[in-house]
Amino acid sequence: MRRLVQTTLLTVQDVVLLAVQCLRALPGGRGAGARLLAQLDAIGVRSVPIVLLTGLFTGMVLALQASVQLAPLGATLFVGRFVAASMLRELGPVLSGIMVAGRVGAGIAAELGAMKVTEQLDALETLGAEPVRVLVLPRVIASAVAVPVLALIADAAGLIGAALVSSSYLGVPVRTFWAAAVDQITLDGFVFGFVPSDLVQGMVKPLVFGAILSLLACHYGLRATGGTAGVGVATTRAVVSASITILIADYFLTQLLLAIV
Amino acid sequence: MPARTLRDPMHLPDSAVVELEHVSVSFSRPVLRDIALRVSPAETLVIVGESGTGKSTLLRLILGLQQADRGRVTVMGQDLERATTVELRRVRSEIGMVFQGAALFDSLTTFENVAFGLRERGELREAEIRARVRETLALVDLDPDEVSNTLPAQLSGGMRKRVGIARAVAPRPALLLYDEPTAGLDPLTSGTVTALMQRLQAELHVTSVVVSHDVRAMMRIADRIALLHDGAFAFLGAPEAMRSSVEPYTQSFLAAA
Repeated sequence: MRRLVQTTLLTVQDVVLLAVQCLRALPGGRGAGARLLAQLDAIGVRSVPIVLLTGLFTGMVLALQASVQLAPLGATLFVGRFVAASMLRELGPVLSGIMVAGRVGAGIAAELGAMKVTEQLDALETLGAEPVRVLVLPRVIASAVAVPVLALIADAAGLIGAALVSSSYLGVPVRTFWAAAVDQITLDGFVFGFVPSDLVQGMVKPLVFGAILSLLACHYGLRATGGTAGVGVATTRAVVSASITILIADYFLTQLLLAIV
Repeated sequence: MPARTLRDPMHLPDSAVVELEHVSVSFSRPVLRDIALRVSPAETLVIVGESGTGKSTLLRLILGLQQADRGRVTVMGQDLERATTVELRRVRSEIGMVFQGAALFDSLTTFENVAFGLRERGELREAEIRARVRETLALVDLDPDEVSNTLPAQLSGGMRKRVGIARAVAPRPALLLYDEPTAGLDPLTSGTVTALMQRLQAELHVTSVVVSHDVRAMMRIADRIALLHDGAFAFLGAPEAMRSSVEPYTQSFLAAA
């Protein structure tokens, strides 16, 4: 137990230091734009199908479950509210974060880990390129930018899925479903006068999740040792720790955002 | 005081490109113990020894990728322990490193691998970089038209090694480090790579530090050979002197080679 706490604290320290190194490496030097675009494509664009499917079926299941709870009360008309609140505030951000942690976090850890064990990271340094600037920074920025957009896509897919189920199986007209969903989204007012506060929560959380999952993946990748077996270990650790950290961070972020938004 | 240029190590006051003074390094056990070494400009020093004797650690010390527990490592007049990040980067920009497994960037083509260091330096325009890459690939006996667009995975072991050498040589460094340049190659390819190293030495007059287990092949290119044993040099001198050495470990190492 003591060792677990020690390892966890050391990992937190290393990840915070990595984040500081990323900030120092800004704006990223020569070729930073091209590197960022490549990562936005790898992390963001290529994650769209998996996030789309996850969001769609989560919304459909939510609609079914909500109908079970709401039908005895004669309140199936409120399915739109239920799904909108659940997707925007929690499920969209968390599921997108976890799906990207699984797909992209594993990829980042494996790629950097393989580079470490084949001395490509040493080669980078000897050729005058710092690994944090060239490899970590574009991945962290791309992830922090892409995950909020992916969360929005998951939200939209979830609402569309729920609307389909509501109209097909629950007899809720599509227009009624969307009216309830929009009512819910705007219920808690607006930030800056025009951004629904639910949406702010739904965007801030995935931004943090994106940064966390990419920093953890880079951390484990950069520290991979012991050949290909070490790369496997690094990949597993990256995905598990990112998924758990996202769930823990979600609780504290929710508390914080409920207090200030 | 006139500006000291790293590009021309002959102008350094003590004319040593690399100097190690009382250097000790330990991991779980002592690896290097009180090592002293000076490498002169345009010299080729070959470091040989059994596996795990700290040969590669010596190269990592010279590159500043590893810090000594004790002692001082000076490269081109710069004490690496006291060097700032900028100073360390400047020293590294004068060093070319050939890695044991070539360490080519998997996602980049041969051309992009060789051009990488040139682009990072930002001293040449794109047209000059293209010309330099083609010239360097030809220098290591590779046809630029044939290999430029290939990925490292599509190259043979010998070709990968030559691309690794081209990448290290392309920025025209003052100091070239080789980590096991012939490891994992068949005898014929190993001979080709050794001949290539010899030719680069003659054409570029670059100072070289070579770590190898292949003492017989390296005797052809070495000005001096250092034999590491038990964390210290069992022998340090000219190849001819090594052949005639009466030191027991040196004799047994040569006999086993």
